[in-house]
Amino acid sequence: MNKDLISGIALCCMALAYFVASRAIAVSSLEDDFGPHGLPNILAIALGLTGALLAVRAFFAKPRLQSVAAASQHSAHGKPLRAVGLLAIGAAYILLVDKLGYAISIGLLIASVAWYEGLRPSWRLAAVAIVGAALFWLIFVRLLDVAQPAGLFF
Amino acid sequence: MPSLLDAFALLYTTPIIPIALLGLTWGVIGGALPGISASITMALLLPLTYSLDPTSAIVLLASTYIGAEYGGSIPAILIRTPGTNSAAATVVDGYEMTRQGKAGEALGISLWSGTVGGLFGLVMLVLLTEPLSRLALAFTPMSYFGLGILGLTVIASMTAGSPLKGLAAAIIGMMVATVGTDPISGVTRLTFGSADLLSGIEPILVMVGLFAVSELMVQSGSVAAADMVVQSVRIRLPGLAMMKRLLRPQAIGSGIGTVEGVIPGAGGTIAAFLSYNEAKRWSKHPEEFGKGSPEGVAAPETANNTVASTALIPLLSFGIPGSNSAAVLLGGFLLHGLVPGPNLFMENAAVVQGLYVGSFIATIGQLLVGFMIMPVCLWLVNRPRPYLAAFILALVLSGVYSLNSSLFDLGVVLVAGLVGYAMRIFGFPFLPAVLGVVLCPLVESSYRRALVLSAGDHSIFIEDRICFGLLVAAALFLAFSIVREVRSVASATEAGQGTP
Repeated sequence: MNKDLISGIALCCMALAYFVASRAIAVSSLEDDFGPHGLPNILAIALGLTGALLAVRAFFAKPRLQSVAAASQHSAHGKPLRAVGLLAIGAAYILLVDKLGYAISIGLLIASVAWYEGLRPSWRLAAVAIVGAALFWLIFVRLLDVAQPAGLFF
Repeated sequence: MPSLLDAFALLYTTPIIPIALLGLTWGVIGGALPGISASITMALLLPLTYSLDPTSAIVLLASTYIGAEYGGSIPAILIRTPGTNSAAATVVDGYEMTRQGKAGEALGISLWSGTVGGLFGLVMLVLLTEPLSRLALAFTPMSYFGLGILGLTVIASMTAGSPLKGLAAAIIGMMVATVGTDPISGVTRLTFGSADLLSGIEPILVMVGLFAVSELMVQSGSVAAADMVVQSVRIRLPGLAMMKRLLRPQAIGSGIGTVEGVIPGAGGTIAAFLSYNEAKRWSKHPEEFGKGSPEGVAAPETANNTVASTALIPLLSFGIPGSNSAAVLLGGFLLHGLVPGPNLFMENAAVVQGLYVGSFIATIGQLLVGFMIMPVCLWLVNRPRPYLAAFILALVLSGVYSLNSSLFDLGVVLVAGLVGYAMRIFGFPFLPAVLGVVLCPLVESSYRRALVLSAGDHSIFIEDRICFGLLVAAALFLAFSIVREVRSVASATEAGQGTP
């Protein structure tokens, strides 16, 4: 299956899910004629139609053009699993920052992303992470007075 | 109108120059940090203004605003992360130039265009406050609807080659904007019981996720960032030939920025996107847009810096704050017992004069501050890729948390990043999605307000002259884009048939 066909089917599914979710919008005595569900309904139908058109067009497209496009797109975006790994580090930061506090968590984030991107664990990496954490803490907490999560320690 | 000579006498009788430069520097730093908006940067200074005289206080806040509007373009160009909403349009060609090793040139064009736009906006502010403020009052919900529709037509020119995918991206962006509390009835929509979603999803979260996080993911997933070129650490202002080439996009940006700035609520984001679109439409090299066009950087930067000045017109004339930043400035006025409105010009002329002069100093000072800050920024983006990726992700997560002190927002940014990554793999453009998120609330709420006013009669959109004019312009722009798309498809087909 080519990418446009997958996209078209995914858009149709998304439109259906959105339509179902928008049916659950409550009715209010204050609402106008168009109502809070007017636009969501239109958007769901529009997305469904667009997805269907995309899928149909992809289904009847020439196979040679599809394979060329797919090959060029694949080479441009590399390894998706590795890319998602970076996102997982960000997610781990969100889970930890409330417990460890901002300063420690941001230092760990810097160290782990740099390591994930190819640096070997070393004193230099640790030093950069510590200095980076101190810098971010100074800018956001002290200078800009943004209350970052304090955590259990400080 | 206050005497210009009296105004410039303030330069040596008050500490306006250092205060304007201080505010400007603070604004550039704040604007350059993703998530720290111009209004937050200004609000952080508000307590400090207690101890200042009214003129200095207002100059400090206004120059911070100018600095923040400019500062948002720095991360947009260097790391594909718009520092402010209005810098989103700058990402497209600014970051492409960075990828081609022209970061210094892109920053120079942004700096120069920002200064030109700021100065033009200032002239408009000084000379045309009265007539332009009448335009602000003439804008009805119907006119706002027309403006929103005009903005949405920009999508048509951003989807060249894949109109269906562009349309789908715009619809998805609009879907994201429908999450939260309904603007008319107050009913919650698509929040799934989550209190974090009650106030909706802020556009900056979507932009940072789509642009910055997805870019980090792409670079992480590739074997080597072969397409990134080591940058010179020198900022390069455009030469005479380039300045001549930039005149047209700067004129477009200044014109659109003036009108959009005057209209409360329209803001720099719409102005930047409209200017980008019009600059592309009227360019001699439209094919370069999206591939690192200097005009693609100049137009939005001129527009959003023009807005930084002209947005003060409704505030000074009627006391109407047209944006969050203008609201903070209004707070600064009220804090010192000043009430913006027609009487301000008569009773506190010195403050108004100080504001004009301070804004002028800050706008010119952009060049100086830019030259001081840019080499540091360029040096930073030349660090080894693992460190750069680590610090960008740390900056994004720290900055986004600053918006609402919400960990939920961080999750939204990561999810937007994942969606952006998928969009890139499947060849969906980002900008229509961004425009959808930004414009959907304006279009929906104005449409429904207009229908409430007319008791459901749609002819009100024709009867309102401004709305009718904007809708006609939108129809013409759409037709123009369709004709251009059809022509390009036809010429591509002919070229394909001619090739053996």
